[in-house]
Amino acid sequence: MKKENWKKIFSAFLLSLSLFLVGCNNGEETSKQAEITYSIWDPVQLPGMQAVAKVFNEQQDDVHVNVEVTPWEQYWTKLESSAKGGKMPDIFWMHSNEIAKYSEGQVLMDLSEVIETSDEIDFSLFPEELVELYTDGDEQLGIPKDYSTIGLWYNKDLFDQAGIDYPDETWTWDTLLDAAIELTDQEKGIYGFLAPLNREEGYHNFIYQNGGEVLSDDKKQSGFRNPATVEAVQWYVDLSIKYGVSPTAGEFSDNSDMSYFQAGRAAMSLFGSWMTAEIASNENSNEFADVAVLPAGEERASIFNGLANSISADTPHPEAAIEFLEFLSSEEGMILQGKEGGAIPALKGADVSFTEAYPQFNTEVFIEQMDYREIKPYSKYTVRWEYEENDDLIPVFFGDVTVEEVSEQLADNVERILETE
Amino acid sequence: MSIQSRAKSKNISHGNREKRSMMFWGWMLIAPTLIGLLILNIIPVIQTLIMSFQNVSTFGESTWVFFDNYKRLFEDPKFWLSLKNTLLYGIIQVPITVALSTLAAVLLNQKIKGVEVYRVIYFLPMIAAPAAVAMVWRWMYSSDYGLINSFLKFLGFSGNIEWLYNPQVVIWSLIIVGIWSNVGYNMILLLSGLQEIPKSYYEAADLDGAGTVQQFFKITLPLLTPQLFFVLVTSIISAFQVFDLIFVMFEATNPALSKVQSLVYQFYNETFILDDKGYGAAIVIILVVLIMIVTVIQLIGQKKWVNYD
Amino acid sequence: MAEIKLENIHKRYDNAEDDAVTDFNLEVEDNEFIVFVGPSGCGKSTTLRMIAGLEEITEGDLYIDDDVVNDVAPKDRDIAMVFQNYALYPHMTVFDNMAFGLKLRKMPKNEIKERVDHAAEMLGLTDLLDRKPAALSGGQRQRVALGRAVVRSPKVFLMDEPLSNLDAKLRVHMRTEIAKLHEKLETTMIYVTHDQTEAMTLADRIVIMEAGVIQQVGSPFEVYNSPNNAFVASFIGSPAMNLNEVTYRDGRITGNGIDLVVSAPSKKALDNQGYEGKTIIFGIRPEDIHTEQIALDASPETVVESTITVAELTGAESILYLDVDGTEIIAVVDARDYHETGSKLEVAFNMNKAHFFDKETEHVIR
Repeated sequence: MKKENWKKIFSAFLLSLSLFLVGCNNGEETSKQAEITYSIWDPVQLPGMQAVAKVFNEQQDDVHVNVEVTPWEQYWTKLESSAKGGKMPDIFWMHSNEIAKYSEGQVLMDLSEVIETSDEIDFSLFPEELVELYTDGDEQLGIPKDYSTIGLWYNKDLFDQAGIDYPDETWTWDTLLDAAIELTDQEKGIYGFLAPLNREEGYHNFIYQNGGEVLSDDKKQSGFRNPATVEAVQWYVDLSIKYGVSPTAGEFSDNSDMSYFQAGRAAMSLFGSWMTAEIASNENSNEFADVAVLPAGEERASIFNGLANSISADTPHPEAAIEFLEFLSSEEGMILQGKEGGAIPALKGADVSFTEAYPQFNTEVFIEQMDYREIKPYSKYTVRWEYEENDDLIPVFFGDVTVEEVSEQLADNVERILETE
Repeated sequence: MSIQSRAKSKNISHGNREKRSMMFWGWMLIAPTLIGLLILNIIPVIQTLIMSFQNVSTFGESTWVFFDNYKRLFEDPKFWLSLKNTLLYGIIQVPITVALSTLAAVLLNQKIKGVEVYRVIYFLPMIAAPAAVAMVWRWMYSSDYGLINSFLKFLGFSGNIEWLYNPQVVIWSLIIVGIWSNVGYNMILLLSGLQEIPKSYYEAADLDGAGTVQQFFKITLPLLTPQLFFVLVTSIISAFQVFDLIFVMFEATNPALSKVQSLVYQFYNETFILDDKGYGAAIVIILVVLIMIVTVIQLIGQKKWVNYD
Repeated sequence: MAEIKLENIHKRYDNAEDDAVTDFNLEVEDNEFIVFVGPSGCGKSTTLRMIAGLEEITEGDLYIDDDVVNDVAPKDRDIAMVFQNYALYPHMTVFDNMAFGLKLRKMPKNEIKERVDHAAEMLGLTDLLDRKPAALSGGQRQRVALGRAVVRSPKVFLMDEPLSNLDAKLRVHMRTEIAKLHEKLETTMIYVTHDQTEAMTLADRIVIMEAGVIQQVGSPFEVYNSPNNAFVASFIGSPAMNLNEVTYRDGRITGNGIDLVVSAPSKKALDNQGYEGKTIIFGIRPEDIHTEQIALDASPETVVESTITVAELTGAESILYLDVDGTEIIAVVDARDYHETGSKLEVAFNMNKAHFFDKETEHVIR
């Protein structure tokens, strides 16, 4: 008899427990405010995003935005599993590397109607490459949030000590190299120019400046069949291998380019506009650093890219999310974002607010370079062919082979991936 | 019914009820673990096996490609590289670790002052999270600023060893950290094995005339073989899965990465970075097969050299 | 074959308050079979291990053949030892177990084989040479342990409770085997046991120990018939000697239901040593209590009335637990003399075989 009672009590307990838990969840839905989550990956930009959210929350009674940071390394795995589980954040950042996958998966809300009907959003003021990047056929799957270009950062102290004029718009590849050679001091461990194995903040810029390309326009061929491309990359590689003005690839794996720069061991380096906050946060580099436009090759060019804000197709709060998106994309929202200095707002006109955040640096150059911008090369499987490109260039950066020697194989490998798209 | 038969039938039905009740409770109590095992281990294993035969699409339907992933794998030079690195790491790290663990266990089996403290110290690396261990070693290995090179310079050794990016050196840097982290755990296991050896064997050996070293080889080692076997099998299984040390100590942009990249690392890369989950699944399945083969070989060899008394 | 001398040996463990073995003195003759016997913890194994060199001697000197060997390593003392749990190397065959010590001494292979085969034959192990210890029975393992000692042809055999792990029947059998071995090898043997039967049957001389102190050294006959103190008296002999407190007055002992006249020699000893009127311990062995009519008639002054509380029939004998006016007395009589529990019985005490001990010192009064 005793055992029967036991079972009944136990089962009753389990049952009531589960009811209680279900009840808890339901409780939230019936509260007045719609709580939406805005998911981002850059902790540096968190103050900026929170500033926008704060103003929005104050203006609103029935929507409350929570900003959530998930570091880059985990951001995409988390987003993917949340998409599969049907519980994506309501509104979140989207990146050019991943847009193809998410648009194919049809988990993003089509914003084309929103844009048409909204009076807060002036779509013509966004860079068209970014708009196109986040378009899939007729659907607009993201609204550009910011853009970035690459700048030539330099150490004023080292230039002063060597008695060389700071870089400016007159600089060419040759000027850069000459200055780098003069500024390099082996004994003191000081390098004239940092040239790590890096694409967006590295040799891709030089490829376009030399008239070459990374991918053909139709994205079916690799640009490494183009001799201009090969020449540019070789020149870049030679900086470390031949001229010794840059640490070698191996040395970069021990210390990142940013640590060399902030430690005052580099006279010049390429960094994207998004690294400005980082450079400002270090009290040394904040003092000695400044930025100029990239030198000119055959042409001028700077790689540019931008993030977008996207809304989950399954969000339980579509109107709330759209309202917040409109605010983010409005002039007011964009300026709030720019003032914090995390990134350059994508909206033309509002982008200048970024420069106000850093009076100590010539950050206007980032906006100037939009005149000759080149969108960061992308395709459906960007990460995969970038990986091939990276892999094939490793022995080149070791000095074992020349770019010419690997270019054929590299192009084949990249095109193999492009074929699968 | 007679009293006897009534009592008998009551016993039978009572027995059945008891049996059912015991079954119910038996299942209830193992249910949490069983469910966890099923959901978190068994089902994912089956899913992985299935994925290895597919081209996995993230948000849509996966397509069956049967053995294409495996064919591609066998033609992929990176796979062979990862395989070679994994095998090299396992074959070098494990024997050295086990030998050092044995030595440490023997040394710490004596009644010396503070022996408990030493045992704790040797075991500490196991408590630290692998990522933390790797981070500290990475800092120590730094060519310009690291502790190791500074210490070597202090000893008068000139020249900077590029621990983390010289292609010839990196596998050894990894092996050293692997040994350091695992000696403690194996030592404890072997220590317990040593303490099971009755003292009288050593006394008999004393009287027979065996010296310390002879006793080690003729008595200690043979009687330690069951624990040695266990330690070898588990160490190899674990070594073949090396990942976190590599992931933390070597950047994705590290040019020497191809010399340490293990099978699990390649799996991680293919699955999460390059987003080719079917291919990644195939890599993992190959790894499982590899580990099973090696373990089976060890189990067969067990009869030859392991003494169970 | 060797003489062993223990001179004033003491053993004290670190941090211990007292000695484990106190002032142990013994001279062992060549070829003698000595048994150390005593209850658990009396120090017999410790002493044996000191002789072997497995325990350090805290004080005193140990001689083997006139050499002081306190600091000589066990392997150099030319001693072989048989352990209680045999300590057979489990991963080696019987042959290898026995050959181990010889191999270490770099003896040539054929000589090793000869010796091992010879010892195996002596102990009936020839068919078992290829087996591992796990495949042997307890008795077989014991013989291998003996064999391992035998091949070494040592000066001294030490045995630490070698039969304790065997069942009763096997124990009896192995006892005779060991006795025969001693005959054959003609080597000095020192044997430790807690079983007084083993001691009595095997020893040339018995060393009885208690709490680290030697109680008596003597031949089995001596320690049985002339125990030096109450401890030896009760330890040797089974069932144990009956010991009871009585008062001695003018040739009579009374108390605890006993009222008996002592024998003339006893009276003399007791009077001479001033025990008149004092309380002493009276000891009488069970087999010296008789129920036959002849005994009752022969010395009526030693007859006592008793009631049987338990009667144990062991086959050849009967052990009777008697209630003598509240005191329990054990008697061992012939089995044919069957008596039922609860019945009254008259028994005669053979006072010529009585022992008396001082109440405080427990020393024998002779």
